[in-house]
Amino acid sequence: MAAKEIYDYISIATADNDQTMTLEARGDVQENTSKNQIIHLGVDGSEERVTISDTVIAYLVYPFSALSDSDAGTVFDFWHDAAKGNGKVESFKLQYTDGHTYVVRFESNMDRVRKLGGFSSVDVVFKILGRIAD
Amino acid sequence: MAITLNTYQQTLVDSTTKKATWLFYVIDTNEVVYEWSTKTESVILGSDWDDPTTITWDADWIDETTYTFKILSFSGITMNRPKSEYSIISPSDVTFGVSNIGHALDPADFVGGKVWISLYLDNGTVEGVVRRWRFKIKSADPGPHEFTCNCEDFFQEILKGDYPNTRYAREVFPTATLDNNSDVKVPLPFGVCYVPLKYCVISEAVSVTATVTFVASSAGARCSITGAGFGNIATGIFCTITGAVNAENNGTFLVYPNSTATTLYFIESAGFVAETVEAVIKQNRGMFLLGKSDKTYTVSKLRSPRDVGPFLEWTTGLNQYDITDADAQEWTLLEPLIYDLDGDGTDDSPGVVKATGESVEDHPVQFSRSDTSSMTNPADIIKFVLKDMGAADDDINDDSFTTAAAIFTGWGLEFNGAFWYNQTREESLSKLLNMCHASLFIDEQINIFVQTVASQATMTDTEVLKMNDIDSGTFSYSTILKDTINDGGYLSAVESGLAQDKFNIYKVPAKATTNNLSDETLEIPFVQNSQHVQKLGSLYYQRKLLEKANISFLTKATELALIPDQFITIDQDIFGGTYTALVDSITINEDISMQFQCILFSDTMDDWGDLAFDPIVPTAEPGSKFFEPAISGPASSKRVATSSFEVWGNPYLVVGPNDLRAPYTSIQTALNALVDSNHSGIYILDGDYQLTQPVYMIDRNIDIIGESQNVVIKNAVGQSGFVFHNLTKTYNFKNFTLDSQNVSDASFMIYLYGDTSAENASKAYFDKIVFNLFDDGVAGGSGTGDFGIYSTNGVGVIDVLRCFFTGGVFGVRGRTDNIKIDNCDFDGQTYYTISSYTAAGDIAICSNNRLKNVYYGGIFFDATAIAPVIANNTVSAISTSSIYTSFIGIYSSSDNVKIAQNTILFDNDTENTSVTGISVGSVNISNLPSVIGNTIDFALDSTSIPYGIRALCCTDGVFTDNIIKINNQQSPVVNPRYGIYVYGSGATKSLRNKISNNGIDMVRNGASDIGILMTSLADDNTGTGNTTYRVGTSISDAGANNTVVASDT
Repeated sequence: MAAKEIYDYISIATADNDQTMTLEARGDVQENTSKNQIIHLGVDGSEERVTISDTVIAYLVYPFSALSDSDAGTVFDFWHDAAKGNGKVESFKLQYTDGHTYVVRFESNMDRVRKLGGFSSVDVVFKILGRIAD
Repeated sequence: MAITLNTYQQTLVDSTTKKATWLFYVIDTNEVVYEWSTKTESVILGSDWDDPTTITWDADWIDETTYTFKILSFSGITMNRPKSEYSIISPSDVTFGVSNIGHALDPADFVGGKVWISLYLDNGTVEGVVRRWRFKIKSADPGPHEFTCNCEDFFQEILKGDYPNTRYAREVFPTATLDNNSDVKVPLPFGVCYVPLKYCVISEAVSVTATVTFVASSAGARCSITGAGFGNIATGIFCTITGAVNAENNGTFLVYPNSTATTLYFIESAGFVAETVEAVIKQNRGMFLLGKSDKTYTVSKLRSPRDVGPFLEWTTGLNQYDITDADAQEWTLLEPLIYDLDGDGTDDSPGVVKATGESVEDHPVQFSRSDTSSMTNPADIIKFVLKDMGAADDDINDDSFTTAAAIFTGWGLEFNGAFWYNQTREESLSKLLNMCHASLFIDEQINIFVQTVASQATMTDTEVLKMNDIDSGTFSYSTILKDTINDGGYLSAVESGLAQDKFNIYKVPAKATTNNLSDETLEIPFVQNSQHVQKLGSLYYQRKLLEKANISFLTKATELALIPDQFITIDQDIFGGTYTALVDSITINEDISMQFQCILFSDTMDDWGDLAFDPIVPTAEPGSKFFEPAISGPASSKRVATSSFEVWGNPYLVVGPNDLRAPYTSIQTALNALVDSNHSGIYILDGDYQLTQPVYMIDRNIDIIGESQNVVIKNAVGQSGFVFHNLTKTYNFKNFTLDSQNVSDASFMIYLYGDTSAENASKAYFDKIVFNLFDDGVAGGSGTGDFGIYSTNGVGVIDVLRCFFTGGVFGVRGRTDNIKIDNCDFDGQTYYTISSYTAAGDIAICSNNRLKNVYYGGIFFDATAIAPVIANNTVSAISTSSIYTSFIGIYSSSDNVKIAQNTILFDNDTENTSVTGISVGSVNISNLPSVIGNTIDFALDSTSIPYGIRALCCTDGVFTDNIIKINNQQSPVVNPRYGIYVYGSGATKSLRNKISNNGIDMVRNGASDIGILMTSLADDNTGTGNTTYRVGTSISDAGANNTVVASDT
C-alpha cells in the first residue's frame, strides 16, 4: 500500500491570506488527526458508535526545538501580522515537509521565552483547514 | 404508546453505527427562512420538508438540501411528561447558540420566530429524519458575534391565557346593581350541560314606539294602554313610558297579567289620563345569558340556585330572546316564565328564585348548543378545545385523536358539561385529560394518547450507558421521602340530569383501601356515570399518591421512539431487578444519548380495564324541602323588597292603623303589594281606617281578614268602600266593620259589577262583617241611603254569612248566579232589606236571617231564579217608625219557590195600601210554589188591607200548615182583611193549588174578616184541614171547581 499523507483526506481550501509560510523543520513534527465521533458504551460493554462529523480534524504540532531561529521569527511574524495569520483568525498557506501545501491557521497562542542566545518557546500548533492542489 | 417510526426510521434507530445531524429550520418574524446545523451538512429530505409547516413522514427522499454550520451550541431536546394530575402541561424546551459574525443577523428578528429541530440519522445505507420537534423562540439574547435562542414547544403559546375564550358574562350586559365580579363566562357547552348561567339585567331590552291610547281607570277598572306591537313586553315587569303629553302617563309602571300584544294592563291607581299619542314603552329585563345568537340552543331545565331555598326545577316556560349588546353583538338569552303574578296557579311572568339581598344568584340551566350538542367523545372535545385555543388544523395529529376516540367509545366514556367560569387553559386541559385518563404529547404536532401501563420498552445493561470502560454505569435511584402516605382521595361529580355547579363528594381508593385519604378532591364535572367517575379517580390517585422513587439513567439512541408519560420496564439485577417505571422526562443530548428521568410506584398501576366499581347511589339530603322558597319578581315596593319574614315568611300582608304596628297602613297599598310579594292574604289590625277612595280589588284570589270588628273601615264620603269590577277570582272578607261616612250622598259599601255579566264572575264571601249604613230616614224608593252589598251584572257567587246590617236603603241587593244570605241580622233598611233580582238559572237562598224594623220589603226574590229557598227567617215591622206605601214580609215570583218556617211580624198603624205577610207569584204564571209552615202575625189599626198570604197566578202550589193571625183594630171597618188570598190577573188564573191545614184567626170576627178567598180567577184549587176562627166568612169562593174546605170554629 502506498504511503498516505494528510493531503489525501482533506478537501481543497483557499487561504484567507495568500501568504505562504515555509519552515525547515529540524526535528520531529507531530501530525494529529481525528474525527468528531462518540462511542456510547453500554454497561455490558456493547457499543453504539455515533459520528457527529466525517470531516478529518488535523493538526500539525511543531516543537520549538524543531525550528531554526529564522523559522521562529517567521512563525512569530505570521502570528502577529494581521495580513498573514493574525493570531488564530486568518488562514494562510504552509509549505509542509511532506511536499504539499496546506491551508492552516494557528491553533496555539504565540508564547516564547527570551533566553541567552535566542528564544525558546512552547509548541506551535497549526490546524489544517484544507489543502492547496498540487 | 411510543411513537410509531416507519421502517426507515426504525432501521436507523436500531443501527449500532449511525451518523447524527441536528437540523435547525428557522423562520424569523420577517418570514425569512434559515437552514442551519451544528455543521455544514448536505441532507436528503422528503418532499414535504420543502414546506415544514405541513409535515408528514415521507419515504420518498428526493430532495437534497445543505444545512450550513451556524449552531454553536445546543442543549439537546428535553421532553417532559404533562403532569395533568398537577395541572401542569410541562413545556419541552431547548436552547441553542447561533453564530453571528459581524452581527449580520438581528436577534430581535428571531424573538417569536419558529424553529423546527430535526434529528437526522445516517447509517451509511439509509438516512433521514427520525424525530422532529417544533418550538417557538421565546428570547434571542445577543452576545459577541453570536446570540442565544431560548425556545419552548409551540404548544406553550396555545396554553397561554384563560379559558373558555368566551367573554365574561358581566361584560356583555353590565349590571350595576348585581354581582359583576364573578368569573362566570358565557358558557361553552358539550353534549347536554347543566351549569349556572349569568343573570343579566338588560337595559331597555324591549323598546316599542307606537301610537297608543291611554285608558284611564274608571270605576275601579285597570288602567290600560291599547295599541300594537306589545308582544315582547312581559307581564310582571316594570316598563317605562315616555312621550305622553300628559305627564301622568309618563313614568314607570308594572305590567299586569292578561296583557296582550295590543293591550297592556296596569294597576287601577296608575293614574293614567286618557289620550292618544305616540309613546315609547321600554322594559329592562332580567335574563340568563346562553351565548351568541349564531348558534341555537335547546333548553330543557332551569333550577333554583342551590343556596336559595329548596330544590325547584322548571321544564316549561323557558323562553329565549335574541338581544344585541352595546358592541352590536347579538346574544341569545333565557327568560324563564316561572312567576305566578296573579296567583291563579299558572306561571305568567318572568321570575327568578332569590334570597333577600340585591343580587340574583346565577341559575343552573340544562341546555345544549347546536354545534356541540352531539359532541360527547372526550377526544373530540379535547380537539375542539385545542382548536378553540388557537391550534391550527395542521397542529393536531388527527390520527392520534381518532385512536383515542375509539378507545373512549369502547369504554362508553362520554362528556356532558360546559366550561362556564374562567380558569387557566392549563387547568382546563388538565381537567379534561384527567376526566378521560389521557395525556398530550407535543413534538411537531399535538398528539393525544390514552394512558396505559403497558410497557413500551425494556431497559437492560445493554441500553443503559456507562461513561468509561471501567464504570458502574449511569443508573441512579432516589427514594421519595413523604411525611404522609395517602391511599386515596376524594372526587366530586354529579349524576346525570343534575346541575353541575356543585357536586357530590365521594372517597375513592388509589388501589383498595381508604384508610388515610388525601385532602385533595378531584373534580370530574363532565362525567356522570358513577362507575366511570370512580375509575378515573382511582387512576388519578394512583399516579398522584403512589410515587415511591425516582430513577435516572443515560441510554443509547436506540430508544428514540419513546416519549414521556409511558411505562417502561427495567430489567437488570444491578438496577434492582425487574419492574416498571413511568417516564417523566427524556432529554436527547447533542450526541443523541438519551437521559431518562422515571418514577417508580409503590403498587401495581392499573389500566381502565383493570378496575371495577359498583355504581354510587347518593344519599338524599334530609330536610331539603323543609324551607319555604322565596320566589319573586321585581318588587314595586321598597317595603316589600326590604322586609324578610314579616313580608315573605308571613302568610298575610299586615295592615295596621300606623306604621309602627304593621308594614302597611293602606289597604289598597297592601292589595297592590300582594302581586309583588306573591301573597294572597291581608290581615288588618284593630283600628280605624279612613279611605280616601274606594278600595279597588285586583283580579287575584284574596282574603281580607280583620283582627276583630274593631277594625273599622270608613269609606270616603260619597264613594264606595270596596269595588269589584270585572273580576273573576275568589274573595273572602271576614271580621271587620264597614262604617259609612255618608251624610247626604249615599254609596255602596261593597260594590260588585261587570261591564257585562260575564265579566263579573267573582266569587265573594262575606263573613261577620258589620255594615253601618247611612240613610235619610225616608222610607221607600224616594229615600236616600247606602247599599250594604250591591251587585249587578254578575255570574259569580255572593255568599253573606253572619253579617250585621244597620240602616241604609238596602242591606243586600243584587244579582249573580249564586246568592246566599244566611244567619245575618238586618235592622232598619228603609226600602228592601234583602233584594235579589236573579236571572234565569240563578240559585238564591235566604235562610236563618233576622230582619227587624222593615220599612217596606223584607225579603224579595224575583221571578226567574230556580227554586229559591226562603226559610227560617224572621221579618219584623213591629217597631218600625213608618211603613212605606205597602209592606211585604216575603215576596217571590219564582217557580218552585220554597218559603218555609218563616215568621212575619207586623205591628204598625201606618196607613198603607196593603200589608202582606207572604206574597208569591206574579202576573206571569208561577208554578209549584211552596208556602209551608210559616207564621204570620199582624196587629194594625189602619185602613190598610192585610193579607196573610197572597197567591197570584200560582199553579199547582202548596199552601199548608201556615199559622195566620190578623188583628186589624180599625173601626169602623173600611177595607176587608184576608187570611189567604188566591187570585189571578187578566186571563191568568191560579189553578190547582193545595190549600190545607192552615190555621187562620182574623180576630175581629166581622163581615170583612175573610179566612180564605178565591176570586173568579182561581179555579180547581183543593184543600182540607183548614181551620178558620173569628171570621165573617170562612171561605169565599168565586172561582170554578174549587174544593177548599175549612172548619170554622
